[in-house]
Amino acid sequence: MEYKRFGEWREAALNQVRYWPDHDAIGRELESHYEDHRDDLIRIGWPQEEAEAHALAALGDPEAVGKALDREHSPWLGRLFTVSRVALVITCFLYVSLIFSNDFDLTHFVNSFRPFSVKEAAGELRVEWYNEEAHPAYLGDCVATAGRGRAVQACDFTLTPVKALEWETYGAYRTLITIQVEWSPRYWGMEPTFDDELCVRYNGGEADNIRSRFGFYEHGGSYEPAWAHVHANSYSVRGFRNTALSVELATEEPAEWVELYYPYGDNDWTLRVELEAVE
Amino acid sequence: LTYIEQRGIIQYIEFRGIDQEEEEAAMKKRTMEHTELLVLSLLSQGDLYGYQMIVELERRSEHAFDMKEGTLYPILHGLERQGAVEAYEAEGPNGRVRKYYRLTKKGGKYLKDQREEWRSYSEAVNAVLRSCEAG
Repeated sequence: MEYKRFGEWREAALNQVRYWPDHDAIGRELESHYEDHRDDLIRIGWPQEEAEAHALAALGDPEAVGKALDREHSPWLGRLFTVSRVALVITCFLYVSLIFSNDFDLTHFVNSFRPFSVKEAAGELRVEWYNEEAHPAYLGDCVATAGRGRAVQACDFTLTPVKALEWETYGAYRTLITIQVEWSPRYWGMEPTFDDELCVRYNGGEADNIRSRFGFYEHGGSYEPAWAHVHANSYSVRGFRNTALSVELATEEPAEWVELYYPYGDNDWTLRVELEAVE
Repeated sequence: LTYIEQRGIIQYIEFRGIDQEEEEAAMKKRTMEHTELLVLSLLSQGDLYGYQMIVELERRSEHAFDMKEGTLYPILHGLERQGAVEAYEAEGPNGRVRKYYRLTKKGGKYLKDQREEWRSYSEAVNAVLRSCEAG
């Protein structure tokens, strides 16, 4: 078959290449070659028509060239390349979403090991929550503490008491307890609802579980009855669900021990934290 | 190869009945390998685009290589796929965007191997020719 125009030649060649996403690039390269050759011939005095015909003939048989190109632009290799690029983009997207999702909040992750900082100077205590400015209620004299406890298994949960502090403020007492909770991946999707269901008991009785830690005035501006605020930050570490649990208790009289009771179907558990008075 | 071994090969070829088509395919493969060697040699001098390579091949071989120009591109794309060359686009002096090819490290090693192979092959052929002329 005689190809009179380059467009026809290119089409005949590209028809042989099955991986169509490469058609444009191949076509551009061949066209550039053809035009360079044609222009060179015109420059040395060939008539345009003859120069075009010669440059086209020099390219060879378009079907043979197309078949050879098809072998190098195999649809399977091309698809594999496309799929791998798509997979890479998806992986990056998932990775970024994981980092920025609520499940993996870097601030929570870091704070879970240091949910509050305590500064003690000359017997005075200052508790700062998550880098926030200390509220006047979080300033006072430390009266009792409890150090890091050993990890205990309670049903599906592994509980590790991290720290407990009790201080005197405004003629009442505040106790802050942090606990690291880890649970089995079998229970993914069954987020424990510590915020709502955890019961806080102490030597004076059971505290009201209030939703906001600034709920003192909502609670009637009183420490009688005692109230507690439970705050749980959940995140994932190496596929395991973890919760940094903070329990804040406000009482009229000092708490000597605090019990955390969690109703968990038939497997309720209670964790008791003994506080040791500071001399 | 000894004479008997050569005979054996010839007989084997006859037995297999290598036809014209297979012979042409083998010839094509050899031509392709040689073109690869020539292309890589040219690229070892600097980056070039397809048309420049054809012009350079003609000039340096004093028009001895008469290849269909379109067949250069499957060879270049194959070398690119193997990682022997890499391509980039750049605008030429006349404003036309061209695809330039550059020899990679892997390509440099491949060129060295191919060059040595070619030299030992051509030396062997020359040795046979010389011995026949003398004999």
